[in-house]
Amino acid sequence: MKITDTFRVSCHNIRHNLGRTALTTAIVAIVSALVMFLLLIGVSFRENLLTVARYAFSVSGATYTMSGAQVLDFHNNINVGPITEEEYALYKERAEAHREVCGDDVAQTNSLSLLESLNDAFLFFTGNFRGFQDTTTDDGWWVTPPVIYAKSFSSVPAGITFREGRSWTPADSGSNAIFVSREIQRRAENGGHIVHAGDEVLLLNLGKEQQLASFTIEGFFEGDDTPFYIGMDKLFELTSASDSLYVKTISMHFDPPAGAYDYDATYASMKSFTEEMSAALEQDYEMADLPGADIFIMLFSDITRRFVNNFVDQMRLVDVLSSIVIAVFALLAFLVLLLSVGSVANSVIISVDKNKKFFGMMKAVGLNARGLRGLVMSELLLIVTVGVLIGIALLYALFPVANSIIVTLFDYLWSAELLPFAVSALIPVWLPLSTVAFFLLLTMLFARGSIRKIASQDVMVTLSEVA
Amino acid sequence: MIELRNVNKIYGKGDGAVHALKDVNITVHDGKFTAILGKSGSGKSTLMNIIGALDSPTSGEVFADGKCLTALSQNELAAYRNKTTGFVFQSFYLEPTFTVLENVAMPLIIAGMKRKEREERARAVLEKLGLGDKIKKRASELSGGQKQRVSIARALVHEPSLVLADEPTGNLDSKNGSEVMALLREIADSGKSVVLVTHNHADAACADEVIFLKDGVAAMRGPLLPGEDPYGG
Repeated sequence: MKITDTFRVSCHNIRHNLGRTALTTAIVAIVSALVMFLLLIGVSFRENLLTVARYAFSVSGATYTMSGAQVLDFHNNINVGPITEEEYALYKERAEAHREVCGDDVAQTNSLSLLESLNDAFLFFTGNFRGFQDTTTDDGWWVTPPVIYAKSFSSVPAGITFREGRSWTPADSGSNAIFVSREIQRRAENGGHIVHAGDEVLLLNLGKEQQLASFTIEGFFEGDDTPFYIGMDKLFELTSASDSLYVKTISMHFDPPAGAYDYDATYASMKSFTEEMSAALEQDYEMADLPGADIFIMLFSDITRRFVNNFVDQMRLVDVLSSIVIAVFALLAFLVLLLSVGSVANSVIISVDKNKKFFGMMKAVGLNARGLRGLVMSELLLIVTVGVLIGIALLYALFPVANSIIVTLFDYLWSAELLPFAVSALIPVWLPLSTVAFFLLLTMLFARGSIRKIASQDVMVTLSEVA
Repeated sequence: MIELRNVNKIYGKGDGAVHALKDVNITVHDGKFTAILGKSGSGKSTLMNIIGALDSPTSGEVFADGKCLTALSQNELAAYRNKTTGFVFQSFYLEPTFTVLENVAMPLIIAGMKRKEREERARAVLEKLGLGDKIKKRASELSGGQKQRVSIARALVHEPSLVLADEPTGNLDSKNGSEVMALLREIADSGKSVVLVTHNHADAACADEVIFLKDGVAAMRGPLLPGEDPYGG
């Protein structure tokens, strides 16, 4: 039987049972409007919440700005210069592939900004502490080993003792004072370099903006190999067994777009970008023997983790909370649907029963079980579709109410004046389609017993029941 | 040709089981008018249903032109009926809300024929049966005789090779009944096989062959002699 004829026969049956059909359609319309209204509130709340959260987190600071991807490159026996054109081109090429991550600031090489963003933690390099020469050139900075790492603390955990030189005081926070870990001192000594309090050290800043800063080692502190967690949560050290050290920094700056975007995917893209960059830039060098090799991973993972911790995690939390809200509304909508679908299914069962003789005759002249199910399904589809369409019209009539609820709710949670955009209710495209689908599915489940019975019943049994 | 071999039909189980047909071995020959004659409860409607593939035997086999119907699935039997058999029922089984044309075209709708073509064929059959002026009327608006002729038209529209009529005159007066029997005779004379189920020996007298049923046991014989009462009265 052709589909058009199936629907034609169903339309005929509907026309000749108009009262019952109209009542069923009205029930479907009202219920579907209510179901869609509940889902609309849930969906609108979630989408607006995500938008507000994204805005709020961005306003709260550069917590989702990945302000430094430091590429460390150890290379033997070459003089250090700024980032080469080839490396810059390589960076740009990689960054282009991750345009959404890097934005327009493709290759900032301002390590001073990097250092600032690292909350006072920075790298410096020094060679002979007593006879250090000014090796700056117009092209950039020179680095000579050994590298000793130190940092200026913003706070000092309890239990740290100082030997040689003075102890740290809160006044040192943000200052140029340098305190070096005892472990680093020991390692430097093992490498043949003696480090004392009072030694002058030079901050080498590679990149387009050349900066030289001089610091004095104020003191040493006892601690473990990775003592403090400040700023980027990792205190790291650099040592070099090579004759020269080449350090360059490339920073990335990421501003997420104002609209919705997949932040998990963005984070993944940022992570893969930094890993690609480090793999590309380290590939010519043998990193395995160099103690600083771990720095790559630590740095990248540290910075990206910072990104995750600050923004992605927060957005995930908001995502989860808003998903719970929408799940509650969806559950309410489902319960409403479930309670009312029985009456729609009943209409199907009545229709099947009333048309038993007709179905029996059709089976006698050759209608198979599939054709019979098609007749019942098409009638149901017509009723539910028309009902949901009317329900959509009702929903649009109720839209100002839904909008008012959302606006009032967000005005209560956040004052509307603080938001540079307007919140509103929104009707997703999938809403009416999924409502039709669920209605049909549930009704068929309820009515399947009756349909299966008539489809499988012997023809003469069917006809004899109504003879 | 329809062949029934050792066909039994039992309804129910255990002590309450009814053995409607007992080892029936009969043949319905092509182009013949065959009457199944028996009293009420003899199993004749059951036999007709099995011949027409509306029902399956409990045991035994049914062959239609060498094809075993008892081995077919329900869907295959439905397709077979749509193509090969036409039914005329005592209660007509017309859909009252459909027009005469729509009722007659029903087998062609199921067969998936295009609308224009099926309406043409339905119209032609109705014209032939003298119902050309009733095409647009609803089936509920017709008299009993007209309804049965519409039912016959529906049974013929898809050009089946076998027409089965179950007590077609049962709800008709004698005039209409005679007209219907004459129509069935005409159908048989046109080359189709006709199987008539009846308890009325006068109707059975129109047939070329008679299958006499008593308590589920069938016996084939030739036509009834004029005035013969097969019940022995």
